[in-house]
Amino acid sequence: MLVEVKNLVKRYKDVLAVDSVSLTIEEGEIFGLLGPNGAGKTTTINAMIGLTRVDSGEIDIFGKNFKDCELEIKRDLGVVPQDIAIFEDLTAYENLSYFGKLYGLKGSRLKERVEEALEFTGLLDKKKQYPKKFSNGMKRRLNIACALVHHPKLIIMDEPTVGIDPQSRSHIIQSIRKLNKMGSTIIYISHYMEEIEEICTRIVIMDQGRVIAKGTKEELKSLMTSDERVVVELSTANYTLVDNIKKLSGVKEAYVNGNELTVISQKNSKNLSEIIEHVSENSEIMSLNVEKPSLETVFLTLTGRSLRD
Amino acid sequence: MDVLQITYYTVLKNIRNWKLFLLLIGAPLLIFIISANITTNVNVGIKFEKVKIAYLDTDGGPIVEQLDQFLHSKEILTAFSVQKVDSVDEGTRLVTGGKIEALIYFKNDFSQSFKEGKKTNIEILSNRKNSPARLIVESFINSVNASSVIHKIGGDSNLTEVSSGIKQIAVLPTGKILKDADKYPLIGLLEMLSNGALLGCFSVVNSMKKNTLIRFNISPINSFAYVSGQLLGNFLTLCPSSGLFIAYLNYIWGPFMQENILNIILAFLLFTVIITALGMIVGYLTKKTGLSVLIIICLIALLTGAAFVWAMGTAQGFLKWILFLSPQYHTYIIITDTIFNGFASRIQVSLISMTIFATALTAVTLLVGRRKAV
Repeated sequence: MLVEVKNLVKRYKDVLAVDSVSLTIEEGEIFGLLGPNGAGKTTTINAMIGLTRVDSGEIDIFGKNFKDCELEIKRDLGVVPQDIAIFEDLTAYENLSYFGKLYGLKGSRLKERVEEALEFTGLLDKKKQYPKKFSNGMKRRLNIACALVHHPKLIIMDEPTVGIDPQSRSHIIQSIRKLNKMGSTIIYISHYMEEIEEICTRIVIMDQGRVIAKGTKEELKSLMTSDERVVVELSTANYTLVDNIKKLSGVKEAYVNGNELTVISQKNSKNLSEIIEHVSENSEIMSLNVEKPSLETVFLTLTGRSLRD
Repeated sequence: MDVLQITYYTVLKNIRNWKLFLLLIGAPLLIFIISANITTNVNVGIKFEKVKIAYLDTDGGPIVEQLDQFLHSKEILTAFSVQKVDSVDEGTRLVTGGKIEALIYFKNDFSQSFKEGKKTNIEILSNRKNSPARLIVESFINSVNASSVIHKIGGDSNLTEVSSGIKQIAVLPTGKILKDADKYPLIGLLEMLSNGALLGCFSVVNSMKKNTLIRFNISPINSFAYVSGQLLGNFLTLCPSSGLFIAYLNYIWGPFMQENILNIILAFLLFTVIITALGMIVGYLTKKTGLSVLIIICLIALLTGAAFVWAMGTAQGFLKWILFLSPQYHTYIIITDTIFNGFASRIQVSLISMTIFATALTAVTLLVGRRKAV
């Protein structure tokens, strides 16, 4: 086990920011921490990197207690902070060189690692440029490069794709996969469930300082209620059709909104072909969408509110 | 990581921030040049049409030799054009012809009579009712009587003990006396140097606002190493300003400070440490640019103000009480007492005080700047 967090509690005056959070992270995982703003994700992570003093609980990283071996643990940690943390008056190369030296790198090894990190983030041709001339996406990539320069065993990324263009986002997501393949364990924090769903092997959902669910994507989706939803766009819709659909096996609810027919069935009712057959007899099908449960719906079901509320 | 590496990158960042660098180094350079020129002109005197005088020596004694030296001193020659004539007739002709304003005439028994303590006269032939030559002669006589005192006090304020006539005339062979006009730029430049505290403050506040402090907090380095490196880097960035100040002092009062320049260098090094640490402490405590700038400006104005009113001899009440806390006051004391042969004990007290301040403020900077998990 690479990381073990036990019963972490952090209180800010009257606000319980983290309420008995326990986590375990295995080596080689991309571990997703999902939750809305204020869920306690960043506080939990800050406690793991020594930026926040916890009220109670234990944190073991690389099999060592964080309190006892803080500096030793930090040597193998790479952190991508939520906010861009680079020196705008130093070139991209100097930034990496500076941060590399903080981790004890020097000489040809430092030079090699800096070049490698720049190449990895696609900034090698910009190494002599000042970040103040960079786009937001490039700054984010440099922010990531700063965390990778010393080859950390565990990389913690706190919302690394906030406020960037799709191209840079795609580059970052690919980089994370590549890093994971190269053997790094990654903790990825986001409130973008699409990203978490796309790259994470295991996910913890937090809300109001507590862990409300954890597991693989499939395990989390299986927590969902048994309903399946089919939305059909028709050329014309009528109430006779709705009544007929309601009589089909497994159908719990059906209703029409304009030309859009929504059918809610029990899970595994396998009535999709019957629904299509009935609908096509009465009208022309313009489009059809079978809505499978997403992490968004999982979150909605678990908390009763949207992830972005 | 070596503290010196953090120092190196701190200096590099400070220099690359060219707007701030210009404000803290370029602006003082410009002001130093302007002040140096103004101060020199105030001391030397503004160029104007010189008063033409002549003297006649029929005596040939030592007193007239002294007058000859006196009249040809740099200070007299800035205001007077002096020539020697060979006879009374020649001198009288020049005066009546308007070629010169006055003739100073020593009779042939002058030196002997002076030596024997007899009353003797120096005659002045002038085409004006109140000739400036009279002032020169009076000053000369006073300088002959009191020259040892004047050389000893080196032009400091103790001059009031001698006659007021001497004070108005430059009688020192080299260097300048410390006038009120010199105190303004001296205190003003110290205030300008004090604004270097803003560099320390910005460096701290920017590291918080631009999140770079987090990088150091999450890295495996000792927090004291980081703060020490930052403090040293900011100190080194400000050192050229102090160097400019020392160069300025050397330009104005160079002949007086050659033997004691170490005092002045030490004072400026301590002063730079104090203002750097002060700025960083305010930055760490306030964490806000606007508020910290306001506090620093007020603090500097207060401490420099105390030094200024003391220098002008008008320190009273509250300002008098906070004098000992003012690094500007201590630096001013060290500079002026070193250059103008002031009290050695006062220099020592000020140096000790500044050393204590520098040590205490460095300790506080390290304490408030250490990594703090909340």
